[in-house]
Amino acid sequence: MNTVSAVRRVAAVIVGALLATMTLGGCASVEVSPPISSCHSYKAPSSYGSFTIQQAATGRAIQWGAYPNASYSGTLYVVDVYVNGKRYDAKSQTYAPHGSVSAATAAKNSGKIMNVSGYVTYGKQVVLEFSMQCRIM
Amino acid sequence: MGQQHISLHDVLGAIAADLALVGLDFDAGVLDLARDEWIAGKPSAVADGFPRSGFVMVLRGLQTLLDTDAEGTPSAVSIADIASEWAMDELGHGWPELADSEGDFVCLLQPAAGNSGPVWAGGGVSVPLGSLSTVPLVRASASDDAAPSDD
Repeated sequence: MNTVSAVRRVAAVIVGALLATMTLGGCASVEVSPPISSCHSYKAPSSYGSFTIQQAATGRAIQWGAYPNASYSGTLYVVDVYVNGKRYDAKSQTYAPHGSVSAATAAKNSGKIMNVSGYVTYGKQVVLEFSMQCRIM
Repeated sequence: MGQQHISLHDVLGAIAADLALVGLDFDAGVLDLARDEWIAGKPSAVADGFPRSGFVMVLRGLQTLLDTDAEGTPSAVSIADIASEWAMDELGHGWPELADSEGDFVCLLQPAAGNSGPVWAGGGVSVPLGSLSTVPLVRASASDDAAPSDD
């Protein structure tokens, strides 16, 4: 059985929106986020589990999955999926979530952003938050 | 071309009949977002943020925006696709899995738009939704068939 330490850790997996601070010319600073990558083969660089989005080709369906490591598994998984800023899917379930965006919706939103974000709770405690986004092919 | 219109209730009923073969209760509802009106199933809370047009299918803890067909009605293929994914989660294995005469796995059937209405198709087989009892399916061991969750 998976156990979570008494002191619950809230781990934030911020994927695709990792902010970095850059200093330009020694006098100006801006906050930038890395370019949003394609949904073709998106894999979050995370040590908290496997967070992926895949789209085989333009106009094809998109598959995504969020599988936290055992240390961050929980009793409830809540996920929201947005396509071009509009809600496409909402899940609240007792197992690690995965899902897909239909080919028809993907085709209509080519070039737009898909965002999958959610959190995991163990009892009433949030043990993991995650967010990933990519550009639909 | 030649697509026969099948009512939403017939589609839901057909999928429910197929899922009943593996002991799953397809307790789905469909909300018309433009009219803010339930057109099938039991009303329940739907998360904010969905568009103001289209249809959302609610199935236990899942809420998914449905594709629409040429008439602007909920796509039967989209509904069956969601049902299939849900069933796989509940059962812990693929569904529906076509079997050969020996009972061995041939392929996973996929929902598709047939000439006379929505079908399960794959491995050279095409049967209307609601007719899975007429084709050989891989039989999971009794311990593999999960009871429907009550969340």
